[in-house]
This record gives sequence, structure tokens and C-alpha cells, in this order.
Amino acid sequence: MIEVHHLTKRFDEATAVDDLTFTVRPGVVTGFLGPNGAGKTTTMRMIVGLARPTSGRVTVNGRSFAEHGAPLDELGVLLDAGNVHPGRSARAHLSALAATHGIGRRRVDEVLELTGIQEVAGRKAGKFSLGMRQRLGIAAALLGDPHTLILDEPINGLDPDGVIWVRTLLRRLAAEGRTVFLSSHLMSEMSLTADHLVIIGRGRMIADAPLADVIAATSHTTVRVRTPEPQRLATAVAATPGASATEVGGGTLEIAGADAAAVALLAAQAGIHLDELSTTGASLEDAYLSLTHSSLEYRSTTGA
Amino acid sequence: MRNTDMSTLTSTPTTHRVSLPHLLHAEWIKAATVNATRWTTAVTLALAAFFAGTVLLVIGVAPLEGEDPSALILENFGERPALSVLSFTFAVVPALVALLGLLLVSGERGTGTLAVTLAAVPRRTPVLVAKLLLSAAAGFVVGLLAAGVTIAVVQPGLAGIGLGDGLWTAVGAQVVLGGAVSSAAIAVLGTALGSLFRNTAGAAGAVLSLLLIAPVILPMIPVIGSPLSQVLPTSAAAALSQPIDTVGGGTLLTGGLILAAWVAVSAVVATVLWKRRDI
Repeated sequence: MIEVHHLTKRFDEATAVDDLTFTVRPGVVTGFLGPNGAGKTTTMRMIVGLARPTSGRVTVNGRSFAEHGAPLDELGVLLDAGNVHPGRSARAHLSALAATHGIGRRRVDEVLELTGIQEVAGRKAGKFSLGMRQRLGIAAALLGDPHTLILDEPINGLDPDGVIWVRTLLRRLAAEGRTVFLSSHLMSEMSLTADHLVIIGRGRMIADAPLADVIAATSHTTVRVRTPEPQRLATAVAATPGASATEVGGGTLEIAGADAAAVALLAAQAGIHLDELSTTGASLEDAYLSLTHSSLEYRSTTGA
Repeated sequence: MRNTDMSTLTSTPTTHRVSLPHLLHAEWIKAATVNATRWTTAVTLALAAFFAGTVLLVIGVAPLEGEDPSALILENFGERPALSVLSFTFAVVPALVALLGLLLVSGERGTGTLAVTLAAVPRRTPVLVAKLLLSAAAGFVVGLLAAGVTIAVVQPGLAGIGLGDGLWTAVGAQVVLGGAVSSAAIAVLGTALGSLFRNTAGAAGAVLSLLLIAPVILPMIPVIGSPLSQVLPTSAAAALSQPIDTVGGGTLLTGGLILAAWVAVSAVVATVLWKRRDI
């Protein structure tokens, strides 16, 4: 469990993280979503103690992270897969980290095997591809068999096999009752991995809700229908609870709050002839874009 | 392939704990598993052997020129040539062990590995303490080894021409130990100063400026230059490996105190900033 209370980080003039409050709960995968530069990494670095908050505080499993006697057992961290000495072997990298807690060689072998890099464990990390470094970073995060995991963009650079492997691994870790917090700037990835979303933009909270709620709240499916009798159909729709119709001209209505089948049934019952019936849905990606659009730090202004 | 995963995810319950011995072990693994530290140690010892070798050359070449090697050695190195050669060795060792000490922290910081370490040990200070302790131990051992190499190269030759006296005495032991202690102090200084810089190049530039360039530049400053250069870490370190019966106990004491002050101040500043700064 990670509890973030009114966390703020200012660098000189820029505010990277602005009064964030949220809780990352055990048993589910929580996605930390936002455009690049939104403050995800800075927030994670503050949770882990690598950056000092300007104000606010964070607890990990009930206590300030630094107060734990065996931090690796509480919180496994992958912030940047590039954070390895290029001249040191993967095994030595893990052994040194394990040694800080007196974690034995057997566990090092276990995480090497678990992440599928045991074959290259003796090779220098500088010769690793980004995907292999991500695996090494995940191996390091798992060393202490932690209750909580924080992973910053863990699927960057992974091949499709690796992406599925990470997804499966994270879901299983959450199913075991662990707290899993991972960041991404890709909504599509989050929709496949996360149960709960914390969405930020320009350091501010945009949404903190279950994935399904975010989708429901932000993706508006509308039914587009063309008919010789738009007025009559609009009246019929308006009589249906939760549904509404807007006439957009040319005998075309846009109907929200009812799906295509419901509209077709309504028309049939009223004896209204339909020329055309289609569904236009905003995808999750569209929803994300609409949520974060106003908070983008850099926006392409080229006219489309 | 995936079948084994469930069992390996949950390791057997153990008593994992961050402690100073654990951190020292971790620092040792890091130091021993990169080439830079190994090479710096090797170069230090090779240079010690090279300097000692030049003395052998004098002994070997002098007879061909029709000169008496003993007279030449006495003229150039004094009555206890082994101790003089050791002092030369300990004049060369500081810059290299400082580099070694610096590598214990800079390599980690420059590559980003420090973020991984400090995310595992968020209290931070014990990590730097472990680094400083390992640095002291490494400096001391490398200093002793450099002395050992020097003696192994030079002593048989000197004994052969009847100038082997003076080494196996209390003063000889003081010269070797003094050199090793000053080497430890300089290594700690290298680690402490190195920890202040985000990349190895900046750290090395600063440390080598202090140890190699300052001793040359400072004395050129009129009036205050010369006394100032006496409080440089290299001057203080050099005092410790001088024979006590030649320079007197006061010189050693002053050198030791100056060196201790350098170590203490740099370690305190390094610790404060280490704890406070964002990584």
C-alpha cells in the first residue's frame, strides 16, 4: 500500500508535481498514467526517497519508506532500466543489491531465472538490449520478494513476448495480494494491464478511479441515424429514460444513452423508416486524450 | 517455462536486513566487479615497482660506468636508501589511491546505479559510511601492497651492495605504516570529494587538481603560497612516511592532524549533501 498525501515538488520555478493525493491499494494493478512530462517519474522518485518533496508526505506499507528495516522486502523499484554500470555483469549487479540486505545467492538465481536472463547473467550489462535491461531491472525489483512494486514504464523496449510476460507477471503479483503501481504514457497498455487508474497531467490529478469507471465516464458512444422522420424519432428517443437525441441536419440524429439495437427497436415499434444506422464510439485512447489534452505541456499545433 | 514461476515468486522467509556489514559486503562486490578499480590498483602497484626499479638500474648500470654503486646510492638516496625509496613510492601513491577512492562512488553515481542502491537503502547515510570505510581499507591495503612491491624490488639489490640496513627497524615500520595510513586517508578524501560530483570526469578533475596541480601552483603565490601549500593533503600525507628520527615527531603529528582534518571535513560535508540532495 502506498499513500500519497498532498505531494508537491517544485524545481526552481517549475512545479513538477502539484498537490497529489492518492492511495495505491494492494491486490490490484494500479496504472499511473499521464503524458510525458506529467510528473509520473518525479512522483515515483519521491515515493522511493530519491527526490525530496517540497511539501506533502508519502508512506509505504504504513510507514515512511526510509523507516523500514528491510526496504527491499517492502518495495521493489524499477525506475530506469539504464541505471546499471555498463561494465558490471547482471549477476554482480544483483548480487551487490542483494548483499545490502543479506539476501542470499539463491534468491539472485531465482530472480534471474524468473526474468529469463539467467543465460546472460555473466555478461556485462552494457551489452544488454533495452529489453534485457528491463528484465534485469524487474529482477532487481523482485529481489526482496516485496509487498509493493513500483515500475516506471516497465514495458519500454520489450518485444511483444516480453510485454505479455510483464503483463502476466504484474497481474499475478497483484492477485497474490501485492500492491503494484506502474506508470505508462500509453493508455492502450494500461487498459490491458491495470484495474485502477491514477491519471495526472502537468503534475495535477486528473482522475483516480477504477479502469471501468474511467472508460464509462469518458467514452461517449453515440448512435447516428438518418431517417425521413427525424422529429418523430427524436420524440420517441426523448421518451426513453437516459437517452437523448440531437438533430444535426439532413435528417440525421445523434443519439446518446442508447445503443444501435435499442434505437432500431424504437423505430420499428413506432413504424419509423431508417435510412442509415451506425455507432460512433470514442475509444479509450480518445478518452485519455480528451482528459489530458488541456494539461499537455507541449501540444502539436499543426492544423489537421 | 512459466510453471516454475509461482514457486520462485515467493522466496522462503528470511531475515533480510540492512546493516553496515551487509552494506560493506555490497560495496566490496561493486568495487571488485568493475575494471576501473582493478586497473587503478594494478597501475598503482606497477608504478611502485617501476620507481623501485630505477634504483636497481642505478645499482646495475653504475659498475659499467666505472662508478661505485654504493657511493651513487648513498649520494642520491642517503644512508637508508630503502626508506628513501619508500618515501618516493608514497609520493606517487596518493593521486592513484584518491582515484581509486573516487571510483568507489563516481562510477555508481555517473551510471545511475546509485539510484538503484539508494532506493534499496533509503536512509542513504549508511551507504556513504560503508563507501568511506571500504575506501579507507582499500587505501590502507593498496598502500601496504605498494610498500611491499617496493621493498621486494629494491631490498635484495640494496642488501647485495651492503645498504640493506634501516628497513627492518622500528623506523622502517613507521615509514611503511605511515605511508599506508596516509594512503587510506587520501582514498577517503577521494571518495568524499567524489561523492559531491555527478559524473566521474568532474570528480576526477577536482580531486586531481587538489592532489597534483595545487601542490605546483600554490607555492607560486607570493608570501602566503608557501605556508598554504603546507596544509595541502599531499604535503600532510608525505610527512607521515618520513622517518621519524630524521624529521621529528612534531612533523608527523602536524601532518597527521592536517590530514585528519581534511578527512573529517570532507566526510562531514559529503555526508550532509549525500543525505539531502536529490539523486
